Amino acid sequence: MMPAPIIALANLRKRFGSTVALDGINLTIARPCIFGVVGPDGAGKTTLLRILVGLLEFDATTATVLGYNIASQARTIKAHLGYVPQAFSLYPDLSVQHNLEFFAEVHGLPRAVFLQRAEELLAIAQLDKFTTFLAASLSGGMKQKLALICALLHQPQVLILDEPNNGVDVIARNEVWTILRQLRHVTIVMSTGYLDEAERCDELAYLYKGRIRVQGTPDAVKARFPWQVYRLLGDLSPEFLAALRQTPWAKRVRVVAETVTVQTALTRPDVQAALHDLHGDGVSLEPVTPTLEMVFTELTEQAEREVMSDG
Amino acid sequence: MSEDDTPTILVENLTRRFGTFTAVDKVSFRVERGEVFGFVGANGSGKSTTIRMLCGLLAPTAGQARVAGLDIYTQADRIRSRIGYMSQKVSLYANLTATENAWFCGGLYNLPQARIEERQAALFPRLGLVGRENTLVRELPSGIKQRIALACALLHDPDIIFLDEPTAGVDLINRQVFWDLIRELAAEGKTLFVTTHYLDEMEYAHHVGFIDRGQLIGFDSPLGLKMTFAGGYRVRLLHDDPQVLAQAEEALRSVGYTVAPRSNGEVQLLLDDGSKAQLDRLRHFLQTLDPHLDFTAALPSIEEVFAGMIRQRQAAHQESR
Repeated sequence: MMPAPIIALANLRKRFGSTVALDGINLTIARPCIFGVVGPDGAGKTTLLRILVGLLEFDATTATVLGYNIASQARTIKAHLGYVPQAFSLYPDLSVQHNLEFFAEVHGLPRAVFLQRAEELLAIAQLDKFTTFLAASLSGGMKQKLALICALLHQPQVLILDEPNNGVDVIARNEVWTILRQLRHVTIVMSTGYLDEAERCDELAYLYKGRIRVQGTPDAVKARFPWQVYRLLGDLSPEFLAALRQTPWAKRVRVVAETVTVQTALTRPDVQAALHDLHGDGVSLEPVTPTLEMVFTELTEQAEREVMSDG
Repeated sequence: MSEDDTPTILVENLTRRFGTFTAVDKVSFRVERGEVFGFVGANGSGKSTTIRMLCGLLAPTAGQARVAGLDIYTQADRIRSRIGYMSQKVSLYANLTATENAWFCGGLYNLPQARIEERQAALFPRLGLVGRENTLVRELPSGIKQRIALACALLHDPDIIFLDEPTAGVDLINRQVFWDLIRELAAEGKTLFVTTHYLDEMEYAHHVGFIDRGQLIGFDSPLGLKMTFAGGYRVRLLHDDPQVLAQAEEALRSVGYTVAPRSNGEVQLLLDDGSKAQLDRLRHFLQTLDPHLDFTAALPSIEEVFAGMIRQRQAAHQESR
């Protein structure tokens, strides 16, 4: 018999009053991996994660975690699942050690198991020298690491992280990633607003207005980008750029500081010929791999156009 | 030298100690008028202490700094009238409308009501706030709130605007809109001093400074920082056939190109600079080898450069102990 998928969702829907938060989510995670849920504010990221944790009611044809039904077997799932919500989830006036003890109690961990797990996790998170510090006195990055190891005490198979690195600086963010990378057999589902973080996930889903617009490995997602991207070098006068923007073949001209890129369906020789018509003979092209930012911008605008044409 | 040629922010050996702890350690840099300057550091690196000194809110222990040509020791009051400050965290009154927030801010700077309204009429359309004037701030999406906060910071027409994590919690599309605005303001002669944890945004900066444990460990253009870290302008050869790549690798080496050791089977070259002339020369050479040979830039991201520099410093620090 095939093992049950780690997460299986089919036609998952959620409304808050008249607002549709999730509009038919289909998602299967078969093997342990770091799965990123990316999307703008209000896309439905937190709602999706809260449903996986069993905190919200929903409609779906299938919704299972580790083969258990989310709606009817939430308590069983909970024993195998760790969750770090977006808001600070620790007790600020308890020490690092006491916070860990509290979470161990909640999960009914035997004392000996707790002591061993806590020691391992404190070392991985480099918090072993701070066990007596109050949680409130820790830096943002250290708080985040503490929340993470509290959620890992009971050795969950699935870890749900809601924007774990929001507002955390780069160095602390890298430390959190170092911890996540060590959890080889744990499936991590995390939401993020940082594209460099999405880039590090094994697989990701871009959520917009309650629907998954694209899903796959970061490379596969980029391969779905419909246009070629070229960086333009040379004499890029404002007049030239204005003329370029008017041409129908230039689907998007993006200027980020001194870097100008054009997105187009044309092949390179055709672009070069088209530039000649714009008196852009002094301009040369360098192919560029599309970034996740380009892909997500494109998908967001596509979705907006669909809304418009739906009336 | 005319006034326009003097840098807007000039910092020399700026130092601040708290007891025995040196929060800011002999930091020197300059920011020219009309520039976007990105200031990057982890929490506790000395970033905020530096900003507080430049805003005239905290006296330095040693060193010099001039902001808008004014001395931070003796002219802090005048500096505060020439700068604007915006932060996503401490921003607006949620129970006031955009207009009421603007009036309140204008009041803080003693602007006459007519002047506030004149500035508001100029700024709101530009920042895409028309139609949002009379909505309570708490009912608005974060992208709009952020632009209202920017409008408030610009109300008294400051020369320099400090933006402290202005895009925290703002989504991708609104972040792009915001940064395009920032560059427009710079083109008009404003100076923008920006901090962020989204290091990909530093692509919009003219210059970027890295601070770590109180010391400025990097200061350059985004491209300059990447090239220094990568050892040159790094490009990756593109071709479907590994054999063509291997032949090209050999040919490039034989004519004196610096070929980097292979990683993931990719053929990468290091060029001295990324100038158009140099890239065109490489392209012509590749064309003589195979018409389908091409290349693309393979430079590290700003985040990779920053994290890498910090790692190197930590390693050096551990060794010296």
